[in-house]
Amino acid sequence: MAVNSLNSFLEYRPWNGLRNPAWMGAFAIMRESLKLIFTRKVFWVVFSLAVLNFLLYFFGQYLFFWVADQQPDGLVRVGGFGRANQNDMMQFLRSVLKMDGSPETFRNFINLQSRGIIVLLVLAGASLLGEDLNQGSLIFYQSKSGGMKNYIGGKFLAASFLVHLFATIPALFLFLEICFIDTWTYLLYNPRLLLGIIGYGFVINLGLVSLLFATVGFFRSTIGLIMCWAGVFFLLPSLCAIMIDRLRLNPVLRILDFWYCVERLGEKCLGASPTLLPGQTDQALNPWFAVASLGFVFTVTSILTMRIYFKQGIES
Amino acid sequence: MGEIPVIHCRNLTKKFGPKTVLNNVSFEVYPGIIGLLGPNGAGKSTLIKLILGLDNPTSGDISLFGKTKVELAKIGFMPEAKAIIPSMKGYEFVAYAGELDGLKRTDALRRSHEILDCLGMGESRYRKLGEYSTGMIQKVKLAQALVHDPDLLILDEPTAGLDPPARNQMLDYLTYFARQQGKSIVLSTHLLGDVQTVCDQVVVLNFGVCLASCSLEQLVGNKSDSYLIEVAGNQIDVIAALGEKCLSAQDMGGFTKVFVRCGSSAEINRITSLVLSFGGVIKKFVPLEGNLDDAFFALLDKQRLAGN
Repeated sequence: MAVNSLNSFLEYRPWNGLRNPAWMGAFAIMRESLKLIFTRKVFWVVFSLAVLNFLLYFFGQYLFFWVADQQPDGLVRVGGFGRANQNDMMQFLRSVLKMDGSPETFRNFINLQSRGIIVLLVLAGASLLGEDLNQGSLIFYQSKSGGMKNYIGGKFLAASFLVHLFATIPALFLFLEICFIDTWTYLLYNPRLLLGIIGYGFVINLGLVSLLFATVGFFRSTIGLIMCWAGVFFLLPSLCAIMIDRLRLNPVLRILDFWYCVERLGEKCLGASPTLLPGQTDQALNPWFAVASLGFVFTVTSILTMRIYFKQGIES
Repeated sequence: MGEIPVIHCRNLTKKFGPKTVLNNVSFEVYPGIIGLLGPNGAGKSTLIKLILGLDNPTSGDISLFGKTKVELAKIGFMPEAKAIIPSMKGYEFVAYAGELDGLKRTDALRRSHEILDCLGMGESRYRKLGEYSTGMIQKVKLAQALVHDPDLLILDEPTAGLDPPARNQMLDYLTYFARQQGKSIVLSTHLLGDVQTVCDQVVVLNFGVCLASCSLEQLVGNKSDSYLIEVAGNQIDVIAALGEKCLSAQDMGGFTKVFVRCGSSAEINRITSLVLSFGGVIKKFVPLEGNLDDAFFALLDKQRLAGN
């Protein structure tokens, strides 16, 4: 057996081609991670909802600018449902739906899209990262040229791509839509808004992805992630509401509400007016407190990520 | 061996807190197949991680091919853990490993198919890794370690969980890559039989101490003066007649295994006549080969006794 089976080998060929720099491996990790996510049904469900939301805003804005072009105080035909006053419609689209191309439009849109990202990351996060921890695959990545830096970088890029696919990129499309249907002066007059969209996208990116890395490192399974993120996104806001709105404690305690801090920073980036939570009695949190809170979360989660993933790789 | 050592460890010590996992380990090994032996907790996996540069030694240093800086592109590592991505197809996983080692996508795919052909994977390479048997997973893990054409292969328990034919095949592959392709291979295993079958050199670790680092021949020792005789018939009288020539005897039911020492062919003839004259029937008379199991356990016993 030992000698005979050698005859069946096809000849091994040494290889002397050019190699890519080690950091390029991060893109391969990103590509394969995204392929993994794209094969999950949950991605397509959440993506479909996000596309529907995008279309709602897309046509909502279109409707707003179309109505704005009609005769002032005239009657506008609303499909086959009758006629509405042009002013009333403008008022409705501007004040209630806030689909008028203002910073609030983009704030609301990105906030809604972010809910989808949170659901996606919770349900698919374990596939993205937890599987590698469970299968002991980190040592595989560590033994490759780029090592653990490539792994963390590649996975970070993959998760970031999802965040921007859902939030930043469609928001930029909405911004461009206004440039096309109104005038390009919109771009000239609102450079801050454009940068704000990108900035808010990166705030969500850093916040959610760093949280994902650290929590998957601890919990690994989807159930664990759901429980942990439910605590962050439901329990902490409720706790803050009780402490501040009912017990009248210091409003600065709102910094414990991670998602509120993200939204406050987003509002600051976009230049949107601050929104108060239902029942909120205090002023909106000072953005610098939000920066401090998110900075703390990012630092802690980054340290945890490094410790968990590097240690796990070495121990596996 | 006037060559550059593949691995040269100098006074390597690794501590995790108060626990010393490797204690002043020094050895050098040369191109070929190197067996890394030791019981559980001996420090083999820690040593491998230090060789791969995944962890830093507390003191001491390692050089690979004469260089102290580890170049992972020159090393192929096959981990003991499953370390696969179940949703990936076999050829995709190997190509992915190639890309992580710096190959371009097209090169990685081409190499992946070549290596999998070489390992006889056939059409099963198009199946998902989650559907693979243990033997196929081990082959894919070997392929991913080879895809970037490394000079040194480090294999952690490559035959673990394999049935005898698959194990033999894996050992054939190792022999092929070492003897015909010039790869140096570090084979970390508990299976002494595997080491005895394919390795040229051995490094024995126990409790973080290097007990031996030498060629397999040196470790097993020369036992050309020892023979095994299987005797049937009047076994008791035969053993008594052999006297001090008999090293030990094992009753096997219908016959007895007698281990004897004979210095020359004249002595072999004399023992043969003696057995026959006392009514014994010789079923087998063969030279006793050196046994790695004995040598390995002797080393462990020696360390234990020295400790006591």
